[in-house]
Order: sequence, then C-alpha cells, then structure tokens
Amino acid sequence: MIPPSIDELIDSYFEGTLNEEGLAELERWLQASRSHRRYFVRRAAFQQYIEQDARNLVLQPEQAEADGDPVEKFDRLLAALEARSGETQLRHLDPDELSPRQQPNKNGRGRPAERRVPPSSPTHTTLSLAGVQIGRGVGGLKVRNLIAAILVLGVSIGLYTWFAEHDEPDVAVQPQPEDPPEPDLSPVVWGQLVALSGEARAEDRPPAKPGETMMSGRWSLLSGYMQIQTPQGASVLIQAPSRFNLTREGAVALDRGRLTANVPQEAIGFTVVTPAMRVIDLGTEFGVEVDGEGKTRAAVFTGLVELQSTPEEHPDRPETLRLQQGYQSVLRPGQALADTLSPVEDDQIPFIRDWWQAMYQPEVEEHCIFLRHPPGPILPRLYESDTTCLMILEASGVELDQDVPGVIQEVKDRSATIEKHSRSPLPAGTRFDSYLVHFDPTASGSQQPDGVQIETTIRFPRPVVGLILDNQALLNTDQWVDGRGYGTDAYKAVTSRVRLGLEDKPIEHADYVALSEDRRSLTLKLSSIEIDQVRVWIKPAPEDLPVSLGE
Amino acid sequence: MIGSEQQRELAANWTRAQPLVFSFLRSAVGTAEIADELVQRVALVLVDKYGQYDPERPFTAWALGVARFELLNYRRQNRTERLMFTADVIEQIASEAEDMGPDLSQMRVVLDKCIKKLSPRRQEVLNMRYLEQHGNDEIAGRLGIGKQSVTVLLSRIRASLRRCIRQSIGVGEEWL
Repeated sequence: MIPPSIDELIDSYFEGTLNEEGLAELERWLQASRSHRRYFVRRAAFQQYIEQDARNLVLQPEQAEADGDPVEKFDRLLAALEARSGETQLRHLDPDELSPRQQPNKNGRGRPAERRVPPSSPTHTTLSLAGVQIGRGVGGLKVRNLIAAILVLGVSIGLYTWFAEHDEPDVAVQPQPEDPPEPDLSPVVWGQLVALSGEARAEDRPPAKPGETMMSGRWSLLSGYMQIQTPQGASVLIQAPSRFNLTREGAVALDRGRLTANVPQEAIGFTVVTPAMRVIDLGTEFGVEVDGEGKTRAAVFTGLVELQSTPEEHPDRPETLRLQQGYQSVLRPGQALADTLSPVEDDQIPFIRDWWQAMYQPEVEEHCIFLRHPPGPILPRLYESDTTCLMILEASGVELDQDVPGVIQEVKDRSATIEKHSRSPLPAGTRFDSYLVHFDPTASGSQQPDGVQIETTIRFPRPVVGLILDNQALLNTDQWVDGRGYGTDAYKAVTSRVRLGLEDKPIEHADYVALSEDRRSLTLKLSSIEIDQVRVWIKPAPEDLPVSLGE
Repeated sequence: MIGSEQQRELAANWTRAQPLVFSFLRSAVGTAEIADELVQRVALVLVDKYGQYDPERPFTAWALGVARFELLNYRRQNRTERLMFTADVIEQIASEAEDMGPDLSQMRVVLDKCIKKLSPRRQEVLNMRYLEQHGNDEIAGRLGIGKQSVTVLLSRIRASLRRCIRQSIGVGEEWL
C-alpha cells in the first residue's frame, strides 16, 4: 500500500510544485525499496501518457496513436521530410536558447500542438519542440538533426499529423493503419460466493453477500474469510486482510493476503498469480501467501502444482518448477526458484484450509497446543505436560439462560482485578463459543515442581466476551457448555489479576491473564501452583457458514 | 553518417526504447519540459553514435546509458537552479527502469480506454490542464470553482485513471 502522503508528493513532483522538504522525503522513500522505485517509474510514465492522451482524445481521436509498424512510419516521415528538403531546415538549438524557463511555451512539451498554426501562416513558421525546431522556407537539410527530430517525433503522432493536416500536395501521406481492437475489459462471471464471514468489497460496488455471483475485478477482503467456487469446481478460501483480482481468465491475482485452493480434476489448470510467481494447479490442494513486498509462499498440502517465475538475472528465460505435496517455495519477486524449496512444517503453515479452522482455530504460540478433536475430559496425569498447555474448543453457539454469577467479568478498565463473587456482567441471552485452556504439570499436587511456569499468547478468531478463572466458577459454568465441559474439581484455580493491554509490564512470580485492546489476544502466564484452567468465552461464529463443530 | 538501413534499425529500436527512456528522464527531473529537452539530446547522441552501437547489446540499455550521461550533464549545469534527486537516487531509478518496458506497454494499451471512460466534465478538465496547459487558477475560473477544488479534482481524475489501469491489467495498488 502506497501511503496517500507519498502519492501526493509524487503528484506534486510531476506537477513541478514539490518543495525541498518534500523532495527529501520522496528521496528517502525511493531509497527504501526497489518496489518503490519501480512504482515511481510507472508513475512517471503514467503522467506522461495522460498528458499525451488528453490531447489525443480531444483533438484527433481517429489518429490518436500512430500504432503502425515503426519502420513504415519512419519511412513515411522520412519521405515527407525529404520531399521538403529544398525548403525545410531542422535546427538543433542550444538548450538554453529554448529553455522552457526562459521561453514559457504552453504548447512546447514536445507535442504537436502546432496543429493550431493556420495553413496561411507565413512560410517561416517554426515548429518548436523544446529544443528541436523545424523551420520552413529557410533552406537546407541537416540530416543528423533531421533523423534526431524524427526519432523524437516519430514515436508520437506529431509530425505525421501535422503534415497530414496541412495537406501539402508533395507530401507522401499514407492512411493511418487502424488501431488494433481494444481488449474487452467488461466484467465476466467468475464464480459464486459460497460463504463469507467478515466484509468483502469491490471498488464501485456494494459489499458482497453470501450466495452472490462473483464478477471478475478487484476485491478486498477487509475482515474474516470468504469462500468462492468457480464454475469448474475449484474452491478458494481467502483470509483477511487480502487484496486480489479475479481475472477475466479465471485466475486469482493475489496482491497481498492468503488463500487456499482446493481444485478437483475438472478444474486442473486453476492459477494463482502473485508478484513473485504463477502457481498453476495440477490437481491438488495448495496455499498461497503474499506479503507487502510481494514475497510469496506457495505450499502444497496434497497433489502437485507447477510454479513459474521470471528471475531478474534472466528475464528472457522464465523458470518452471513442479512442487510436490509436503513442500513449499518462498520466493521474492525476481528471485530464481532454485534454492527456495523446503519441506512444509505443520506449525509453519499459516493457511486455513477449511471453515472449521477459519471459524474456530485460534493462533497459538509455543507452549500451547490446540486440539481440534479433544480426547475427552482432562484427568490428572492424562494429556498433561510440564512444558505445554492444552487448549480445547468445548462448545459453540452456547446461550446463557440466566445471568451468570461468579468471577466472569467483562473487563473494562486497565489492570482491573477480578474479584471473587463479583456481579457478572454477562446477562441471560449472551451467546458465545467456549474454550478451555489447561496447564498443570504432570508432577502437580504433592510433588509439585518449583518454578514450572509458561507464558504464551493465544489469538482468538473473535473477541473475548468472558473469562473464568476460579475453580468454583469453572464448575458452575459447566452447565452452559452442554455438559461437555472439561473442567474438573481436581484442579484448583486461584483467582488472578486480569489486565488490559499487552504492553503492561508482566507481573513477576504470579500467574496472570492479559487481554489485548481488541479483546482477541490473551496472554497467559501459567504456573503449576496457581491458575490451572481458564475458560474463555468468545463471540460466537456466524450461524450461516458451512461448518459445524462436529466436522 | 549512418546508412539508410541503419536509420531504419535505429527508428525501430528507438520506437521501442523511447517510452522507457522518457519515463526514466521524467522520473529523474519531474517536469515534462526538461524531460522533453533531454530526450532530444539523447536522440541526437544516438544518431551520432549509432555507428558504434553493438547490436549484440540491448538497445534499451544502451539508450538508457546515454540518457544517464545526458542527465548527469544537465544536473551539473543546473545544480543551483532547481531541485533534483541526488545522483545515487537517479542511478537507482535508472537501474530499475531498464527492464520495465513491458510494464509501460501494458499501461499504454489500457490508458486510452480508461480516459474515454471518464465523464465529459473530467475529460474537459484534462483537456484544459494538459492540452491547453492552463494553470489551476484559470481552470477554476472557467469551471466556476475554487482553485483548491481543481487540485482535488485533478488528483481524483489521476487516481481514477490509475485504478482503471490496475483493474484492467489485474495488478495491485503497489503497481501504480
């Protein structure tokens, strides 16, 4: 994403209004990244093109671009000038002589604005092109300058158009070749939006809704996930934040973000394009991730894909590589494919492969394991470790049928302390999904080891609405997790302090739970002697998604 | 003096290389007037030196090399007159520009259509600014709006065109 302030600087730069301070800032930005400099060169070309095209559009739409064969065009130009050799002079002036600063000339940007010169102008009319002048009626032809002028003019429409308009009988003017047909850029049906949690937007269109037909074009997934299915059956699950283009050719051009694709035989050839590579499916399930610099990770879960890239060192020799199941490639734009392959490690893969994961799987750091299919109630000395906590999704879509007493509290103030028996802010009717975090080393109880303590952060898919840390409260709230609660009175949970904001200083020598400002990240410091279990209630998953807890 | 066959070669090569050379020069100096002036200096040098050109080397790289040289000359001559990037930055830009011909060609192909999609009023504003070369004051007077509104309007028109180009090519905001 280019900051708006930089875009403004670039606009000012090309408009000639940038001051010294702005230039210094722009220079720093350019030096920061290759992609910045490439963006800048494109902006320069863009500025030039709109200046040319604005003129072409208004004055001569039928001759806006001399797109014919350049050699033929050159011949025409040369013939035209040679026909005038007895009366035409080309003069290269000292740049200072025609400096735009000294001779402000509204039409002197190297463009054929001299179309305005009426045919009846004096024979000494001069075509001024900011440094090269073509004078008429002076006599003589300086070939070097003539050719240079043709080079300058020949790639634009100027001289040819000028001669054509003046209708000189001795000028060999050929009709302009017709422009090639312009590509049809109107949107086409790309697929169907099977499911959406969050917000997806396309420019100039209302937000997408599940069940809608997805048209080709640019989209941004601002939050959550979306699943699109192509007519051929390829299923693409996209994770926010992502920006992508559904191309008219049926590919996904992923500028930034993360997706997984599940491609049946009928849809083989489905392609994902990124700034660094093309990923062509050969019948498989794979994931693609693109960061802000265009660096791309492509990982194959099952089957086979073909990767294509164009190394900077050999732009004329694109590389192709087949990537097998269990392998990934991490590639920067312009980098060669060789030496970018590595085995896929399960815990390295950030991809969400199905809706269950999308809706329920938290992001956990080391020291904690999330179990998709819990083994059953946690019993002493079973499923326990002195280095790792366990995390389980207990229930989803639970609704309280009464106000909940105890130590559940919606934290409102920084460094708030949860008091036992405090009044619950969670009223009847509150809906949530319930997780249980468990940590109690195997040697707990009478053989409690000293100093066993872990600290970990868990990021939930939705905001936390309630926390339960007290043993009695855990037991009291089992009823709301449909009898599938995994808490047990074998564990003593001592009330601890709950603080808002991860930036707070950690509390030494004590267990604690800290909730981030967006209420989605929970940092836990757990030891063998204080908190053993934490029940975490989060906002429930949307009900209209193709997922159930039993999957 | 180069022969007619070489002239044809030069014309064909230059036709392909000129947009890139111009974009590099425009990047380096900002305003169209000076970039135009430098493009013409480059063209003169290319004609003079074409006999020395090694056809085994990419023409664009050769032309860009000449452009760098002319630019540095210009920079030396005008050091105190106008704000310019440092030589290091100019060199970095030149290095990036060398392989960007396909990017510029893509952009060129779709821009015409994007401009034609603009509303007549927006086309009129482009016309006044870039064809007739009016300043924002004069455009504001003609349209009966404030000068700042013209600045904003031109900025929006450019943003709209860039968005249209990105959509047509299928690239992201980092591209243009």
